[in-house]
Amino acid sequence: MESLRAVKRYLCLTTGLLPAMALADAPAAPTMVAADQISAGDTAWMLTATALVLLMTIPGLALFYAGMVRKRNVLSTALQSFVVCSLITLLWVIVGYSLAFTPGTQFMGGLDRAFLKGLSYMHDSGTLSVSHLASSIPESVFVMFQLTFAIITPALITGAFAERIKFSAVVIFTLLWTLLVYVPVAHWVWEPTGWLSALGVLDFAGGTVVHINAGAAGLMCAYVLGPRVGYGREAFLPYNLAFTLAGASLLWVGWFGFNAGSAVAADGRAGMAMLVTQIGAATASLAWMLVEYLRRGKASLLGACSGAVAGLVAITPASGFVGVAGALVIGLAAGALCYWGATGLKWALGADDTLDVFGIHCIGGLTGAVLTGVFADPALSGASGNALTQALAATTVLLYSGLVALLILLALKYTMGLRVSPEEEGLGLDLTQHGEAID
Amino acid sequence: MSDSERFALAARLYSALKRSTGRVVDVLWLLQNEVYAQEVVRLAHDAGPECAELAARYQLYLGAAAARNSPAAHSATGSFAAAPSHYVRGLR
Repeated sequence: MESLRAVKRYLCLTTGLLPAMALADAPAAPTMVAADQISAGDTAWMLTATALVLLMTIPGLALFYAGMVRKRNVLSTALQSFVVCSLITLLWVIVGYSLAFTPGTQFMGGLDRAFLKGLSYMHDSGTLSVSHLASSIPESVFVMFQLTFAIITPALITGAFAERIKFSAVVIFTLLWTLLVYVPVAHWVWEPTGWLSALGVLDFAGGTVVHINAGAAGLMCAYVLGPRVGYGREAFLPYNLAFTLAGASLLWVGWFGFNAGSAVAADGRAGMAMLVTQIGAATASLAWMLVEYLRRGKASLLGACSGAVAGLVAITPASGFVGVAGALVIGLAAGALCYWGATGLKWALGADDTLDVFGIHCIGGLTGAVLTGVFADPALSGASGNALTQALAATTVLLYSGLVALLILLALKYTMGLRVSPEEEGLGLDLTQHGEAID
Repeated sequence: MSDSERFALAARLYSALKRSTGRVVDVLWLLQNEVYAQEVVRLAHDAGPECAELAARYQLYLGAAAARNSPAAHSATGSFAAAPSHYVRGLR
């Protein structure tokens, strides 16, 4: 009965029939409050969490990816994460934050807060602005925290087109995809007026907004760019998997900011989110290695790192909603399913998704999204999950992200071009795109 | 010298030759064809100190490669020959 109600509500929302009254009393933003209403504990934790999430991209993801590509593409791959950080920061300040985190409509926020208009800290009067989504911390901290999520999402996609894309195409694709996909999806799920939020979708820290979103776009990138020269015939040796281990470790530690920070408070729920994050990552890492050992007779370092990331991805939507048992099951499922996603499914799909963005982030995100609906414990958060609602939301975001990414890629392909020439690919992107090389 | 080191050296030679003389050489062919490589090395020797240094290093590789041209030795030292087979279809 609950499932039927969810489907009906989903259909009403997707066809634009959401009752207007549901949005009529959406909170205005920002609100000016006295400085003594800010929680020092919450603010201290959120400052720390923000730095941890930024650390996930630079240098975490940059190292994680750079270690897996060939020597001639190490610098370009790391640079892509770095430049995404700068690009998205400006986009976020100019329009991104306003469009994602102001009430607006059920599909997109407004432009009232463009250039962070209204964000303030007045020392003399002892007042500062807070977001309606996080009233115990300064709005500046909330803007920064959300910015770090907006940065890592397109940075994840760079793994799918590594070793063959023009640098100029990376820049334009990143800006367009973030504006047309990440920003609206963040609004749908995390802004209370967003249509998926109104549907009751549970996504604590971004399983759908970050990982399914990035994974679906990554698959489209792999299809539209086509395989690398020699793919399927030559062995593409990773440059240095020790870099990948260092990057994966930074991702693991940074993920505590990602998940426990999403409580937007220094409280017991944040503590639970941190605990289940650790359990999910550890379980998935061991599960991946076990499957790998059973199939190949060896457990690898890359397998351990990949499994940990898969577990972190899958526990992300669930982290504020599930307990220890849920985390164990989610970790186990993510380790096994993402191994399949990065091997059997990848080969079946026939796409050269260079660093398995779809196989790990989309499959891990889907696993976590659906299992959040199964294991969400109302005692922890007051929210009960519905696996069908979760699956519908995840599928919708997957299709939306994939479709818009496809359109952006085709537009770029037939205007500025996406790929470097085969000769440039042979020389490597480090030399041909950036005039640098590792000796 | 591993395949990736040789590739990096050839790429630097390409870059230095283009910068100092405007001449463009085919890096992939340089890696595959010894006669072509010898000719590029000869050109690079006369193209300034940076090119000459890189050419000397590539010459050392060519000499070493010529000394171990038996099929068995080549197979034992080629780094791609030792690469795990699953790297052909993906990393994992």
